[in-house]
Amino acid sequence: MDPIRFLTMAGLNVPALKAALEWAKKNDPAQAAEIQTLLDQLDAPIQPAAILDLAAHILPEAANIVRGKLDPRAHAGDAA
Amino acid sequence: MKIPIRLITLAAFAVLAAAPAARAGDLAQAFGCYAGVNAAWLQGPGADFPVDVEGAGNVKMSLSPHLSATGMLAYGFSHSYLRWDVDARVTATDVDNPNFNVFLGIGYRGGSIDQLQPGEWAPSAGFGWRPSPEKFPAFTFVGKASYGLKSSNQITYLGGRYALPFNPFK
Repeated sequence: MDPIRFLTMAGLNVPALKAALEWAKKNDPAQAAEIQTLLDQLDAPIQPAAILDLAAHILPEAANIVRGKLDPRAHAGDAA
Repeated sequence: MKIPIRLITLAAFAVLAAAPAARAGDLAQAFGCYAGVNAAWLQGPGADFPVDVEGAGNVKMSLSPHLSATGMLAYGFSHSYLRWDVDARVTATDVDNPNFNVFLGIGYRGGSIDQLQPGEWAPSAGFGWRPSPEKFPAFTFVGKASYGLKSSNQITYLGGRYALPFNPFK
């Protein structure tokens, strides 16, 4: 299963998301490489190692938040 | 499927609720608020309206490199509704890139008209993109799609946001 199929099964409008990413890639050369990497990842099968890798990042971060240790970042998507 | 997502969401918000123990300086850095407009689509059983233009306000707390908490209140001008959501989000792209990211989220959403009710849990995915961080550092393009687990309705929007110079933690 690839991420697009997974997200589509969840009911998300993945074609619209992909179209928006393609548009952003075309209009922002500075971000084009990262956006293309993301689009490639959307088309690739989900690797169990990737899920474990994400969990390995998130669990310590959640523990730090509980302890009151914040490490904020400026995510553009947080404005959505 | 509903029970695990609810449990994950509750666990996420339990973690986020612990954030007030953080130092004020960290909270000031974590907080942000925005105003903007959306083009929004609501689709699903008995709930279709093609598109509406919304005025929107957002707040966010970036709590760790991957985890954020967000909230949004939007008003639909054509259909005269209020719509809101609160999310816990995981950044799925480079966490140190301030100009572009994609996120996956889980949260709760609702609204003031029948098509936006009942209040329900909703997984989501979206992105943010600052197209010109040098010239217009406060401007961000955003997009998000969420799926209501109770209604099976899908809300998708694309919009623009302007970062407001307001921070209660400073």
